[in-house]
Amino acid sequence: MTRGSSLYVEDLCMAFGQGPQEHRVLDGLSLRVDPGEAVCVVGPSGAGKTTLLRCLAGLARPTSGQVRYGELPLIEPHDDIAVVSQDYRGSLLPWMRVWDNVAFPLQGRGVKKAVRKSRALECLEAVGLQDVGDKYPWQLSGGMQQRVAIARGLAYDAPVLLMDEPFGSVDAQSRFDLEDLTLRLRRQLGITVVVVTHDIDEAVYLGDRVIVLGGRPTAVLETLTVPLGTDRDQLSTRADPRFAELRTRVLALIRGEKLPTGPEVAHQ
Amino acid sequence: MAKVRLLQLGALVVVLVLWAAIAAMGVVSSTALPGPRAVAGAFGGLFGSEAFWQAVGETLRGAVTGLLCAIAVGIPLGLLTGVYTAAEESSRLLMEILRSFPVIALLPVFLLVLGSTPGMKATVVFIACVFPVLLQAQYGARSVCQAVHETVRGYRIPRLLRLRRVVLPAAAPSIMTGLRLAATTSVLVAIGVEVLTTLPGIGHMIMESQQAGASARAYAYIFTAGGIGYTITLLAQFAEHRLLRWRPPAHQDEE
Ligand SMILES: Nc1ncnc2c1ncn2[C@@H]1O[C@H](COP(=O)(O)OP(=O)(O)OP(=O)(O)O)[C@@H](O)[C@H]1O
Ligand SMILES: [Mg+2]
Repeated sequence: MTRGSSLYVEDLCMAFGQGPQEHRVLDGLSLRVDPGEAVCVVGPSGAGKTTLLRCLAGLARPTSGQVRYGELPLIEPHDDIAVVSQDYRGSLLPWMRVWDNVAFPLQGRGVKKAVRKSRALECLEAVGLQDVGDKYPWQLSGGMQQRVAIARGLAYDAPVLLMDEPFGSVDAQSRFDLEDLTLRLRRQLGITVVVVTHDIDEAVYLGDRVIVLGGRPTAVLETLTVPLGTDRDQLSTRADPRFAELRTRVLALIRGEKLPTGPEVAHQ
Repeated sequence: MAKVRLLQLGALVVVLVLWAAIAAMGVVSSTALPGPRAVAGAFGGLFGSEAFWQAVGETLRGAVTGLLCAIAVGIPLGLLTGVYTAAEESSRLLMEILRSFPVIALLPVFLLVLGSTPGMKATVVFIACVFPVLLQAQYGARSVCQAVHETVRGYRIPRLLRLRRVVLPAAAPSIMTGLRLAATTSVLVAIGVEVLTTLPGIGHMIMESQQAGASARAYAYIFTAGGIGYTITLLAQFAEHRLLRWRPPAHQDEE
């Protein structure tokens, strides 16, 4: 059971500034994300991961190339796509209570207040936040705010969920819980998930595929398929030798080292 | 906190004592500056009189009508022009010119066009008050940060909802500043118009008392005007606290 359409990125180039100050960030990126897939994007800081995600969300127009959702060119945000931005703090509206922040996108769709609120509280509970619905964002810690932003993305109930460094500020235990929540949602709801992350282990744990970005300007270095199935759990999956091998390969790619091969890398 | 209050009250008492001393020494003639006791006595007489309350009512009516119209026009217009850059840019020059006009200087024109009517008074108040409200709303609407903008766009919040639940609250702190300014301006201008025309109200009573040589009564009216201004400031502060409750405490203490 999957929902929505495929996302296509075709020969995407992105440059900021003009003339001699032109700064090419992305250069000729192509990729594809199919419905129901979980894809993780990793790459060094400043590589343009956020820029790529903004293009996927229809929030930024590429300098050249295109992004499509099914047949539709994504030149503006689409109803089927929810984005959890990296700047979770800035993206929460300080004048709305937490539940209202989570429910606000639904108000835009004309959902009634009572329905909105119960849906928001449900999503807050899913990310491990009980009893904070009536607080204001500034009354929560950074990690809690980040989870509110995730809850808002979930409440939107879109077939495609794009998340930019979504678990960066939460504690280790919550982070594992949120990773498992992401996997579970994908399994149960058949949604497509694209996660940008710094954390290589997380990328391998969450992704069906891991897209490694690198180089200057940034291009796709390699796309790795993660053959770990859809039923994963924090202990056994991370202990799997294939997991270790994959994370080593991703790390080597990012650090620009020669790709190691052979079984010995699994024990490194 | 209590200590600060005490000091503030102390300052007030010092001014009163100085005033009484100056009046008692007779440096200034008692018609120009009656003592505090005389003014207090005049107050006593005024509170019971119908003319006093009528004058206060007339002034407030003009000030409040003009102010409410300024709010009703200024806030939406300011928010809209703040959100749509093109609208803001094309109207900027006109706005700058219009708001630089000293509204009292235009009084003869209004007298000619609208006549000496309460409507004219409210109109002049409106013109004086609309610009601070409008410009502050505009400024506030432009202060919506990039991350919020992107979120609202990403979640496809419809335009009207965005204006009501994102732009308006984001601009609220700035609007409140404009409102406080406009509120005091409204009373000031209403009284100014009454002084300069024959329209009834506190301003008119000040003139009339002075001409009749009842300077203590004139001062009583002047202090009434001050009291109204102060009350309005308090009300605005109260409204600000209520409306901006969502702000973290660091902001709430700001003036
Ligand atoms: N609106 C913009 N205008 C100018 N330059 C920009 C803009 N947005 C991004 N950049 C530049 O593009 C580059 C990539 O930025 P981006 O935020 O996409 O990186 P990132 O991979 O998400 O980094 P991080 O991991 O630190 O979040 C940076 O050098 C940044 O300066
Ligand atoms: Mg980023």
